[in-house]
Amino acid sequence: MRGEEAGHALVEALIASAVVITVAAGVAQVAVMSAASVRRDAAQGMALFLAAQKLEQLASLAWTYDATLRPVSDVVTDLAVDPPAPTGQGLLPSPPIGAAAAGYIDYLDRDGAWIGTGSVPPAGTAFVRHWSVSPVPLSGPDVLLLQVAVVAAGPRGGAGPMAVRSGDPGVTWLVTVRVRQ
Amino acid sequence: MLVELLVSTGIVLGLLGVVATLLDPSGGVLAVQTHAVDLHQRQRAALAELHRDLLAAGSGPHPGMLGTVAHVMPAVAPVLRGEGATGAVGADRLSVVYARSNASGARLAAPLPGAGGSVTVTQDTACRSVPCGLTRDGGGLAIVYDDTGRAGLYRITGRSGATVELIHVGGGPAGGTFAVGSRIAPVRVRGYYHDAGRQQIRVHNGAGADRPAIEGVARFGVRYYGADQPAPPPSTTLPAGPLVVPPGSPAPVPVALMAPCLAAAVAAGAPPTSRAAPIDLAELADGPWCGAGAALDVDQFRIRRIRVEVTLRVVDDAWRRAPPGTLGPRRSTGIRDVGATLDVTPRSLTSW
Repeated sequence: MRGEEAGHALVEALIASAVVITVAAGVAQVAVMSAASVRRDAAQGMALFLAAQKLEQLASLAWTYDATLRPVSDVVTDLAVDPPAPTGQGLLPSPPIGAAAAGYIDYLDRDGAWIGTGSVPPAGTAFVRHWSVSPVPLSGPDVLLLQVAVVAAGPRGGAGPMAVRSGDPGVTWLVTVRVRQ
Repeated sequence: MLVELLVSTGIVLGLLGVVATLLDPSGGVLAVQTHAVDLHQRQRAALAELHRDLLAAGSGPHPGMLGTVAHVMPAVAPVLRGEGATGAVGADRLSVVYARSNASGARLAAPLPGAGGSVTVTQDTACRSVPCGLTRDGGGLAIVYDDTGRAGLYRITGRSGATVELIHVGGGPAGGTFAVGSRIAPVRVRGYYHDAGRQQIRVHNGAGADRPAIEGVARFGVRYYGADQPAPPPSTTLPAGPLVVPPGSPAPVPVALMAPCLAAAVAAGAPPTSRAAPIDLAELADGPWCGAGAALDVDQFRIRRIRVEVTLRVVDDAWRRAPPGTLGPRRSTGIRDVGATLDVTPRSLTSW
């Protein structure tokens, strides 16, 4: 073995090791990203699910006519509590969603179970859900615009209701129209 | 040279050992993602199937016919219905009934004994040709009801031309006779219940067949919300006969078709208010009954919204993270049970 070749095997082994470690770290990073993606997908799915759930609750409130064709409207049911109580305003027009008005906001845990309402999210809040009821301009008094927005809050909740803006990528926002029938 | 090889081999082996140690938990994370995705996929599938059936509950038959299924038979009930159903009421089960979307229904051309028999049918206004969807597909169930709101659930056991063979399988009285002109419409019955032993949600089709719908179900519960008192269904101005009223005929009179038990409850009870209220399971199973032995309580007509609560777990116990306070396999990468709550307002009930 010539003197200038001494130590080459050691250097090659070290370089090979560095390559192996780099590749392994890349694979581990993919695993971490995959786990994060699954969690994000689950949270988005749950947010959509919870928004649809509130629309269903709003759809169950009376907005119809009686046998003599007089309008029948639920203006007492409070959907911000679970189970619903006759202490709210039902389908009366509400402040807009961004106002986070009392009676039009509730908090849910990571499984989507209702855990509270009011201005302060309780511990364990994972989702904040806002909704609004408003008339549709030029459509008469029998048409309502129902909107629900859900924001993922993280496992420990936040200090207060989160700001909600239409178009925010972190917000799941559903809109529908209900016609008295 | 030998010394270099030995040293370098030792270094490489040492580093590979460290990398392998780091990758082992990462491998667990990768494997757990597969189970987590499967869990969420089953959650979506379970809720999508339930959602579809609950949305349709009580709907149909075709608008050309008077009333809907929901007016003569509870659209949703905390009990399985049809052939092979025990009639036991529970918070871990529900059934829905709705008219099949591709069928319009017909009228009886001969009287039908309550227990069933062979009967000839004729076209109704919305039916283009006999047998008007009355086939044995999908369990072959049909609802027969008359202008008094009396209804029964039947299974079609055979058909030849315009003649169908029917046997009574529940959903109303088996006694008496349905007169000529009574309506018959093909319906779908779906009963969901929790088999705790198998940890499955199973689906009963009302005709004796039963199949698993979702695996790995730790819990399945149903709650009900609705009117505080039985209320009459919305009336319709559709004539009971042809859709086109001949000139000179009297204008159609609004008619509210409803089950006799509901009509009696509406007449005897306090007027309903407009507020929505929770309905206890006990209220849905304490009578008055709609037909002897049918387990259909008149309060089931008050249901407007259904809440289904499902808790799913990984099918393979080895990957399950035991719930807090319980004994079971524990691993750092285990998957916790996942809950979901589904609220559905059947669209046939939103205007009632």
